Amino acid sequence: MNTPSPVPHPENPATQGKTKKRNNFVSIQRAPYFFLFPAAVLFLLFTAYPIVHSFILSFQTTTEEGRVFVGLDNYIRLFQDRLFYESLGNTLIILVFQVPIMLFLALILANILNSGFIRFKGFFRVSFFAPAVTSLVAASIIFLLLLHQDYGLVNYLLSIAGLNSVGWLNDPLGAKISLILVTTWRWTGYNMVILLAGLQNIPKHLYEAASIDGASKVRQFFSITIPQLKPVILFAAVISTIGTLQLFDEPYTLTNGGPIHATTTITMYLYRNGFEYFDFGYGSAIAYVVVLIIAVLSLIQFKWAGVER
Amino acid sequence: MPENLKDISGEITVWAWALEADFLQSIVPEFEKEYPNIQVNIHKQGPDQVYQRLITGLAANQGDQLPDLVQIEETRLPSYQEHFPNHFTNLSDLGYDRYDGHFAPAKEAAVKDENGNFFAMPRDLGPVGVFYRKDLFAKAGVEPSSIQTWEDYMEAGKQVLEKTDVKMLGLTLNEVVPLYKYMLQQQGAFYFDQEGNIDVRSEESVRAILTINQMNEEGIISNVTNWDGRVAALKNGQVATLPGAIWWTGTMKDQMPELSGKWGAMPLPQFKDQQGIGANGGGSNLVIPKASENKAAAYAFGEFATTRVDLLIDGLKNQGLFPSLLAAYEEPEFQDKQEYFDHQPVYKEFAAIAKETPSVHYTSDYARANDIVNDEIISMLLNRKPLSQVLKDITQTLGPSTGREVNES
Repeated sequence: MNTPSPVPHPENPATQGKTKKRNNFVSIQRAPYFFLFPAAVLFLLFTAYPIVHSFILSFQTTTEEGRVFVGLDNYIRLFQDRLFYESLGNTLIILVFQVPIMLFLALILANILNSGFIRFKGFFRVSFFAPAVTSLVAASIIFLLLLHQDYGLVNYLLSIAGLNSVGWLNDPLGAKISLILVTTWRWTGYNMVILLAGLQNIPKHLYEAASIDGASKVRQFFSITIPQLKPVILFAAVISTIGTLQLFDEPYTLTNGGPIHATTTITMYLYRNGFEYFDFGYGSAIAYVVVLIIAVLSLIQFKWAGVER
Repeated sequence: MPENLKDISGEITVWAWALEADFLQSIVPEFEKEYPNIQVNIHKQGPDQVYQRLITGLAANQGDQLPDLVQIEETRLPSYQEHFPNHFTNLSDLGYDRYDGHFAPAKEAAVKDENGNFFAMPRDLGPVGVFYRKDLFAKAGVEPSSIQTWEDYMEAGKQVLEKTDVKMLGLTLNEVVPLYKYMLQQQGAFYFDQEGNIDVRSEESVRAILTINQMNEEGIISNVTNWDGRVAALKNGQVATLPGAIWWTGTMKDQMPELSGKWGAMPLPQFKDQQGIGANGGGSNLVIPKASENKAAAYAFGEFATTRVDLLIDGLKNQGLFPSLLAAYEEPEFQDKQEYFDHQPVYKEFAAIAKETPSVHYTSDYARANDIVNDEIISMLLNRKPLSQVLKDITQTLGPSTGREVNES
């Protein structure tokens, strides 16, 4: 650009006027909106736009003439797709076993770490939380070694105990169990920390009063800890449910969905359709069905836990 | 295209992975000597990265989001072609037609569109044969030349198992079983027929599935689970043969040098009363996206990388990339008797296989078909799923999801 542009100058009255105006524009009342602006733009661009666009995509398919609207075809296809049901079934099986086991373990660990008689609490907290921040790719290499049918440590220990070796990754059932174990290993500490925070908010005097009334520790756990912790447990249950329904990294790195589709979760199936089969419309339809399932399950959990609005 | 090479100028970006990227990098100095005004930047990345960036780049169709030249396997070419129609440069228009008939026929068919125009420049391929352990065969009293059909192979497998307690072959049942695909191709069949209809009920397909199933029932298959398991089984002498592509020789020489001289190679056994030994496993090509602003320079580099015999021989020697250019097969390096294979001229023999390999119609649904077919074959091997159920599950899943017709048997 060679044309000279007007250079702002402090003595230039026009520029001064502008500066004043800008000062009016930027006021204390408006400041929050300026701070929110970048986040809002990023949200619109990278979250809202894909959500809307994938919704539109879920009604389209690619033909030789480009993308065309096909109405509900993708959704109809979905309900007739055996692999969709299998993937959904795999995900629900993992959900039904993994989330309760994990939350139960997390609750026990949180209680132990919250009790008075344990030392090195910081060390244990960090240790249990560490898997959640460990690189899963690195961890899954270790698991692949541990769970190897012929050379793995786990089967070696089983053989010492006189048990048969298990095809941890080679057998459809074994692979599901392995996946549940690894997911539990990874996320128990994370839930434990959430529950621990909840435990520390329960007033001490409740326990003191119960002790005076002669309630045992077990009774205190079920009559004080659990009811007081209910909203936190619900929170952990809801995020764990959502997390499991979106389970991708663990099966992708550990089993790649196999053997025979046994550990293909619904999000893995979605990914395959989108990025391996280029069936973006169908992948988007799967995504929206997953959203619906998550919404329904979360609603059920809220109702069941009796949380008021 | 300008007449004088020096007139072509510009800077080009090339996306490729692994050994192909190394090969392309290695020829850059030579290329820049001949084309002094072109600068080549090779971006080596993982295959997943190349493919995914290519999807987003093609969707945007912006030159700055795309390379000028990119590596794509022939199994993936049709899906990119169909989902991004008219996004790749017609290379015949740029003069690649002059190489018509210069490549292995199956390869050449895979890189042309339905009008017979080149839209990819053929690089390597992977002719398939059977590698076998000579020492184990000798111990079991199996004469390699007696194996002509898959029945012979199975009999030999039983004998090897009985005499040496070693399984005949390993299959990676956690992943895929490409053996079925090879058995189809050697008979000139595939998951799809030439019209693109689903063809897994064909007699060739049933024959192949039943053969694999029988091998499993005879107990001559070892489940080696995955790539690492298969390499370990080869190295530890747990399997006597490997039906696989020529690029396995690189892995074998690299990871099991102590087995030098103990290996032999032969073509795939035929099916009884059937012809055909040629099958292919793997191989890639170079493509110029239409959005490229330096097509002439990209073409010059692609042509250089795919048609210069001396460079292709270097690529074979240094990267183990088996060329598809027929002229390369006449070079002395192809006649070399390889020490690792007990002085057998393996390259020459696999070049003969490459020439005989029938072309197959991969279609834009190859990836989906391959996943479904492999899952079903593995179900049969692991869970004893009956053949009729296997065929039914393949066709009933693949049919609706691809919208393709299913051929009845």
